[in-house]
Amino acid sequence: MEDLLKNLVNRALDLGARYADARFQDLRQTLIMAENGSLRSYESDRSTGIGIRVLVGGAWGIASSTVLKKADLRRKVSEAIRMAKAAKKLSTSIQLAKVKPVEASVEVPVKRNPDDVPPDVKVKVVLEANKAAVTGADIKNSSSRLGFLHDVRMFLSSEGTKVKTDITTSGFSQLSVAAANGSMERVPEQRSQCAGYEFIEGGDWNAFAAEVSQLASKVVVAPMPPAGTYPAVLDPELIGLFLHEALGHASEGDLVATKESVLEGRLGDSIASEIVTVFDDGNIAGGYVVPFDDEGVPKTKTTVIEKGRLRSFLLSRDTAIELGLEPTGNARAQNFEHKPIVRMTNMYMQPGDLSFEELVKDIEYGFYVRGRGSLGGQVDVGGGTFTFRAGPSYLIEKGELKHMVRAVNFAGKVLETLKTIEAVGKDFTVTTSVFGGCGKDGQLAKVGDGGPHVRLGKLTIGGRAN
Amino acid sequence: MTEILPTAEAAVKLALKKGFDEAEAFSTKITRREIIYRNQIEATKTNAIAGLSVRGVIGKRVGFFSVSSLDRKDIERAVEESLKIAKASSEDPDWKSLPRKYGKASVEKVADKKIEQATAKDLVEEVRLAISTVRDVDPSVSITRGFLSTNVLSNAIANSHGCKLERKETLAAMWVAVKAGTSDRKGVSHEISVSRLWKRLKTKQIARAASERALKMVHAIQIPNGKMNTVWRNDAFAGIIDAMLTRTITADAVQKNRSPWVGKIGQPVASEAVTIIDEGKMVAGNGTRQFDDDGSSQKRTPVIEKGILRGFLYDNYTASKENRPSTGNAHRDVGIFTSQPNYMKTPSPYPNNLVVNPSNATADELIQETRNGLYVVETIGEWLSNPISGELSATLSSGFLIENGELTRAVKGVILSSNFFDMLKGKMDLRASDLDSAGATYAPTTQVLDMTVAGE
Repeated sequence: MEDLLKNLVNRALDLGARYADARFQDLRQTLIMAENGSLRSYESDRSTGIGIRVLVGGAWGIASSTVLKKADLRRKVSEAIRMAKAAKKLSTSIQLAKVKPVEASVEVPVKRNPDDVPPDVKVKVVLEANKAAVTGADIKNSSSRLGFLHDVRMFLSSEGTKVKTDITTSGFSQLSVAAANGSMERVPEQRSQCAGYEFIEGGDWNAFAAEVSQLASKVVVAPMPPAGTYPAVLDPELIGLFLHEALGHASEGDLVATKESVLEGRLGDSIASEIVTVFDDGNIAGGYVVPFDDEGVPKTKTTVIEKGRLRSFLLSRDTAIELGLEPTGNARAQNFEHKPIVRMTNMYMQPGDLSFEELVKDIEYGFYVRGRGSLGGQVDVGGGTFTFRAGPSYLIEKGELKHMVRAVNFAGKVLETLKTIEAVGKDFTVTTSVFGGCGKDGQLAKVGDGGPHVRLGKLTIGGRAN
Repeated sequence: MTEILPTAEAAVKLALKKGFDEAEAFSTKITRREIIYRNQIEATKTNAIAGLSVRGVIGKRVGFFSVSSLDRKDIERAVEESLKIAKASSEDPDWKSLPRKYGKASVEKVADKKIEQATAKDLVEEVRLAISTVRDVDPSVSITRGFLSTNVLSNAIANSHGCKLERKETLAAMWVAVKAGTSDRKGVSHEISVSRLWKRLKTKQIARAASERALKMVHAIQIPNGKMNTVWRNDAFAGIIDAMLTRTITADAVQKNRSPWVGKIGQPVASEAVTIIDEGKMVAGNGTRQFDDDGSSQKRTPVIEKGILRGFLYDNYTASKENRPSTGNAHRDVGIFTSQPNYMKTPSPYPNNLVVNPSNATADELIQETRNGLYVVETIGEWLSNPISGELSATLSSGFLIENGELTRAVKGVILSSNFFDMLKGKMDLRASDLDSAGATYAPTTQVLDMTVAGE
């Protein structure tokens, strides 16, 4: 494979490219689904392909194919160059920040390769958990999934970088639907880790699935919270999603370079309260493992916010040049066919020193907003508005947790909400997911996020008018 | 390049030889071209995707495996792996059989020669039009992100009951994000045009609309909590229908009790003014195909007619469970912009072109009629709403106040919510005639009464 990639890169240089790289990917995915006590589907696939990226004049030419024959691929290289040339008069002037060529190979240690586990063993796990989730007559639907991803990538550039990564991820998910008093509610939840089948063997998925159902049973009879803006305590799962939407996307260098992001021009400014420090890290326990990005640049720990001040953006090689900064290893592509674009890896907040009780005790009226059962979020980076959906949450009254409230959407403003962070807890959790990912420009990327429990002075809650 | 239909047939043959009782192969070839731009072109892209999946059945045990290649050795692997999976699977008591008959509808304007034959120069020219239109509106407005993509999608399906079919569609999309204002006070907006036909791409209109709105959004305000009457632009309202209905009106969701519509066929679920039909053969519809991903012909299926819940959407599996014909709604992907090619998935029912019936008013008339309220153009997070409980929630990223029947100040950042089931019963009766789409869900500009606004 290495020879083929080298051949394609050389072909691009021969045809006039001033830089070229080639990416090979071998991706194996398995998704086993059970629903209401029976196996719904067992889908498994293997995709392989090569993507070629050439810099001709001021623009990228990108070509990819699932046909791994040298002659075909060499034609693809010519096509990439031809298309880039057709855009010449209208093209930008992309420059790449200098990086030291790297040769490396990184593999997530796997004790038991999920592909080596007989299919019937995996089917049994998902079926049993699926049945365990039927905790009462009010549970109308139980959907359980086992998911495995084995992503092998090889990157080779005309500058001599040669990087191979081999990442295995395993996970279990449960969706339970409960009905009561003429109303229905669903709770989705998952656990994943960059690890082999040992992660599945080490978990009690029957108990996990049953817990999700119990949560669905409780929330279906819970009231809606009142609409408005209130103080809130966010749990570690939700603070990760919150940071991802409220800060992460706006810190992506491509959106900063085009001045779309509300964080443009604010490097060094205070954008959060002083107790806030946030990192984007390719290697943190619990997160998704990103040792190198898809430009072959090492992904290290980037300090995005330090004590409330914006310290760094997330950058690719070309956006680093545009902003006059150093690349941070954040150029990522969903797969071989996509253009690497600036993405987060694992964004999390540094823990502080308060207990949960200390975070809650001063709240007269507010909400304990939980991540379990959350569905994700979205941000308008230019407008600066973000939103996310929490899981079933709790009312806080006079410093104490009261009854559960329904899962609703929350919203805030990028530049305002981070400043309302009043207190940071001492616990810490980072999680990832084999099932979902983060979407941007039509590409899905695996990410992780997390942090401690955190108290916010102001968060807008989309419930019901009083 | 190998032809996709003969390859699928060969895979079926091999699967039977290896011991399956029944087998099906679904093959895909996609040629995709894309230009990624800002104020200038940043990248050009060309992708060739090919793949095939094998679904094989032993008794009532089903196995499925897919490969990203049409080569003989990879097809052999797909057959062998699916056989392993089928043997390990538990019996599906509801399994009847793969379809014994395929069908092909006559549809118009789903494959466009112009899209297939467009040269790199044609694509560049279209992008040039977007860039120059934005610049002409106001020099202070700039494009922060944009893409133009063209897709040629070919699929073939064959099974061991002697059925085989082949189809081809095209799809083009132009998307633009623009910004106006300064670092301290920005206005942004996004617009997209999606079409099966090159000449229906509304490049100039969307570039102009996005630019003009971005200029207004610079001065956006937030508004206080309360209740408001709203008017949703057609594509934004289509996004709501997409979030609240597409996953619950399928026979699959109903049979598995994860739909709020269980047991409600024949009952009034909306006001008489509401009719929602899955128009599988809509001319040039983004979801129109000759046949679905099971090989059944696409058709017209009423879901809600004059307020009465009429039916659900079926694929072959869910239909045979109820001993009825499929409605031609098998999909191997969900929505038209998915991140994985369709051959990788087993079929399940999903709408083809879900259409909320338009009326005869204009959007302006709806705004005038509303007198005071909110006009919604863009939202984020509407897809996070809950179609099972009916809790609809969307965060406004671009909209305007309606004051005395006219659009006035720009608004953003508030959460709009309502219960969708209540909305259907008389809170969304006033609609315009201007159908537009979010993916393959179509709706007109619609007045929605009494929404909760969570603001300052």
